[in-house]
Amino acid sequence: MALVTPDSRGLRLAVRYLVLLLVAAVFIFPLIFMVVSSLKPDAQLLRDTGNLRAFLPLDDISLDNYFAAFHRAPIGLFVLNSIMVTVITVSGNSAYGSK
Amino acid sequence: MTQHGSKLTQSNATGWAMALPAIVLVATFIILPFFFAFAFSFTNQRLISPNPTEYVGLANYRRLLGFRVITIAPERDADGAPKYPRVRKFTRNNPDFPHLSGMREWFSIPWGEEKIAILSRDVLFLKCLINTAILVLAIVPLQGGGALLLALLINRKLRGINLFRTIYFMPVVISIVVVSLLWRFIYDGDDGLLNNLLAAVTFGAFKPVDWLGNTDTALSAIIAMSSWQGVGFHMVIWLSGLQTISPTLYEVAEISGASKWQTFRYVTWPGLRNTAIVVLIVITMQAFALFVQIDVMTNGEPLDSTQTLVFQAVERGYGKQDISGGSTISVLLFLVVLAISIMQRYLTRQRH
Repeated sequence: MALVTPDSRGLRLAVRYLVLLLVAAVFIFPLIFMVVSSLKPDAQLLRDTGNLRAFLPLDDISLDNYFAAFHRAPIGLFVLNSIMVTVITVSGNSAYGSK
Repeated sequence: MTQHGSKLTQSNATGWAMALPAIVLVATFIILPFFFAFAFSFTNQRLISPNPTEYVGLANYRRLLGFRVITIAPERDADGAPKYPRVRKFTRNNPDFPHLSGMREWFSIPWGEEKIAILSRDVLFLKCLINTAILVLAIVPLQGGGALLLALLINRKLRGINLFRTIYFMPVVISIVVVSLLWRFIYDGDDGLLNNLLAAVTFGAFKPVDWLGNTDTALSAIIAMSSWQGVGFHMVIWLSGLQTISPTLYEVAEISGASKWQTFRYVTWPGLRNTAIVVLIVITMQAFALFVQIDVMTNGEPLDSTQTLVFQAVERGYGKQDISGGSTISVLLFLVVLAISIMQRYLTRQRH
């Protein structure tokens, strides 16, 4: 067993966290991009993909896209449909799939 | 003895009664449609048609699987340089080769002076078969292995580890349709996030690639994105396997001075045996059934480079209203998946 000094243990912990963070970046940045983009108007969204602003909620930030979506389609009904499918699937599966 | 028997039948009757609703549902929505597909594959059934459906025997299967190999001898031109007649000279209106009529060239390879051409009645189906095989062979190690690495990474008691577990699992929670739309932005050829990122880390040396619009990259792009989305799910399965391994085994390994690799090889990996089988079989079946990503991102384009069997089954059955063609592909896909599952079960069986 190699000699473990407090220093090298601290270093190993730091490396471990660095790896964890790098991997986390791969998973979370696309999702941050998705959420942030949902707050931007089209023109700005396309302008921002070229730099780090793609991940930052800057400039013309609003919930307009969400209101527009509700305006354009019956989102409330869609949500209800999804809830209904989920409830029936989960209860059905747990009723018949378990012993 | 008779008493015991009647008790057993009684409880069996109750059991059957309780299972009945589930059996009826499974029979109606899974077993019956499967037999329908099997039956349709021997007919010329269409989605909507004024003509009555006819029994056509194995014609659908022959159309999909029938291929011929021909050797084409070169013709010399005036300078003596070999020149090959075009394949369509044999397959179109050539009375000498009636059996090749309607076939198309899949690919050809040079063979000495001659050229060997593989002809098929349904080149698209063969492309789907190859693409599906590539998908499965790439996704299984990528997603399964990646998930194991992630599981090993987060199988520690560290401060904040639950945050990392949550982040790695996040893409699984989001609907695959949403994820596919998101990745279309990321893969965009002009101003996609991926191109911009690669240009930034190479200081502008990287030339932008239209990831989904290029026959060389489209399938790989779908493989990468699918693995990214699915890896978290299998990470959790691996993690549950890791946590069933007794800590005393690790203590023994440490006391005996085992290296990290030896600990993994002789303690962790044997302990993950059953988990590995589950992960392998589940990923294989998921990869064969891959559909949404292609439907949302590429529609099988460019030049059929991302066509897969499931996509083609739906495309034929509903897009072209050719229910029998779609059914035939489904039946063939079922047989392939069944064969592979049986093979996997056999290869991973418990040896005594």
